[in-house]
Amino acid sequence: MSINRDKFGALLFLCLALIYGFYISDIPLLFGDEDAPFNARTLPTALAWILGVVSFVQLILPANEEAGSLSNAFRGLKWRRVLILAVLMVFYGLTIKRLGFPLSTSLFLMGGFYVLGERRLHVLIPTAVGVALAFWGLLHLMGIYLQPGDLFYWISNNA
Amino acid sequence: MLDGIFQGLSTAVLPINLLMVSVGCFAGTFIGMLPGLGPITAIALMIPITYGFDPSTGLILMAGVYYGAIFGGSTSSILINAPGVAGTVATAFDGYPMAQKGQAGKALAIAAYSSFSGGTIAAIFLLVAAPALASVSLSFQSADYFALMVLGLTAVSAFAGKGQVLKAITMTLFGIMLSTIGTDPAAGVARFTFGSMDLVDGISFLLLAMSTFALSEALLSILRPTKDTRSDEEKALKSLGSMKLSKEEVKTMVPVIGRSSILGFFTGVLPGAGATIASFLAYGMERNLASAKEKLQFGKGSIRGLAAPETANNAACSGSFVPLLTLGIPGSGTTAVMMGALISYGVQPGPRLFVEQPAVFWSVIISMYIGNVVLLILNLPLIPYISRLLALPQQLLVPFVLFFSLVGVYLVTFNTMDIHMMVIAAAIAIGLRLLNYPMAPMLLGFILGKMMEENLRRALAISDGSISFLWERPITLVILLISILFLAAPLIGNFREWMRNRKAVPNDGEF
Repeated sequence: MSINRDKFGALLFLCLALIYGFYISDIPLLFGDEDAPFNARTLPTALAWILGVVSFVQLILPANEEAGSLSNAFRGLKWRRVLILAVLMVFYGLTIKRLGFPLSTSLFLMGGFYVLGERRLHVLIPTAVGVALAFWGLLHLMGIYLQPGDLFYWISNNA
Repeated sequence: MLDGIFQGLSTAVLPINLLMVSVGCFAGTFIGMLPGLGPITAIALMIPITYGFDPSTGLILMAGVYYGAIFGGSTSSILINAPGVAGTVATAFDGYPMAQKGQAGKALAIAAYSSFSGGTIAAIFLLVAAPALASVSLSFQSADYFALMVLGLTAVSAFAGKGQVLKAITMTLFGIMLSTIGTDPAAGVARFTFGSMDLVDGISFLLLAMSTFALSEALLSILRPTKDTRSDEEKALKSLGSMKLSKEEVKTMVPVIGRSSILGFFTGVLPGAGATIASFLAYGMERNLASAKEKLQFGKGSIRGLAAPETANNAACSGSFVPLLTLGIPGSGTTAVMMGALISYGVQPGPRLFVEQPAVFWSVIISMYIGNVVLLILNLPLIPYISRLLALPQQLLVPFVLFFSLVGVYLVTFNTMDIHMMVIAAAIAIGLRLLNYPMAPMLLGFILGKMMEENLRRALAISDGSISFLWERPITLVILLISILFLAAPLIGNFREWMRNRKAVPNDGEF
């Protein structure tokens, strides 16, 4: 038996309200703030309670059949490409300073085009490199300087 | 007021502002045409570009993008029955049948003239309504602002649609929760930062907007591939037909435009309503007003059925600026993004804007006229060419959207951690979208959350910790009662429907 999509969502938010509520006690209070009508914990406490109640109400109300089951909501989706794109984005974040903007951007775009099915190298490489360099140049013109990257400095120091 | 109009006019006609409104209309039209990418994404993608400009120019660019995106959405609705924007779904009802009859050119022209008229008439209303409301709201106190923010948030939930009210409330609360991450502005203590320095300043609005709209929408288009519409597009473009309208057709359109402009503007002013609801209401109104013979034409290429939603959605766009500019309360996800951008420029929207930054206030209103003219004279003849840009394959478009979103955020902070946070936020947004949770209320909650907390804190301090501020001033009480009404109405409706359904189920004798 598969859980109703709306009920699953409500359950997630109920957990969120509990976790959020749990960490409220970690918020430090200034001296004398404990008895103040409004302190740093007031709004978070109210939010945790309201979200908890709203999600609980959603959970106990009769299920909305139109919402369908959770497995239906996630069926037939093309996860593989999206996951690879997510990895590419993380890789882009890791390399933008090390490899530098032009190189990391070119690699990211080439990877993206390839993952989405572009196999023609004469389209893939010039488009990615061209856009990366053009954007880099445009940023220079706008007065935004982006370092060419640690790799560039390492090569120039060892050359 | 006249001084203000002239000041706004002199700012709006500066070459840079004229250029930006044209660029905005053009870029918005292109992005709005792409199915799946709406005005929020279009505006979010423009924010990093606007950081280098002064606030008037930035807001003028974004207003142009907003108009352009709605107009672009109409184009894809008419040509390929694939609305790029929710506000143009009703346009497809009669626009697409017209295109199928070989009258795509005429349908595009009707859409352009209706959008122009709706936008222009609504901008005149805005010119009158905004300063009047801003003057009234100058007397507002913290308690009234708190009540107004509650109203803004509840209205968004109330207009969320059947079965979505609780989800919209949940997302609003989630947005407010996200706004509590970082340093508490009053006490200066860290909240929910878990010792991370990257969270001390809180979550950046731009990061949230980009990842929950631009990134997640682009990734969802890969996750849930839609049918390739390029061949339909090419076919539609080949048989555009004439763009000329006959006298009879213009005569039919004029009263429709008048009615739908008024309806659209006032619907847009309501917090949470906006272009989508306005276009459906206008379509429904025209259908009800039509004679029995004309009614048969609806859904088969009726001019009235096309002109009404097109006029109303543009009028609603102008209307949605009223609460933003005068009260500092965004009425929709799109204006919430604009408000976030304005705050990051150091401009606080609200009644003081009218007094302290009249150039921003008036130039935006004046630029709406200019934007409408630009849309008409630039986009109408260029539509066949702009549409060809859609022929760009998805495998090239999606990486570009991802790239511009990531770089847009990175260029503001130069912190690579933001890129990683965007990936996480986009993944959460995709999950929530698949669970059918709306994203706009979250953004609205995020924007209004901090302000709501500040005003509540101030109101409580003024009233010595007593909550009597909620009913002491009639205006506060009225606004709060309206909020309760907004919130209760759909919930009561749902409950009554549930009771009816329960009664309808035959009792089989079991206890």
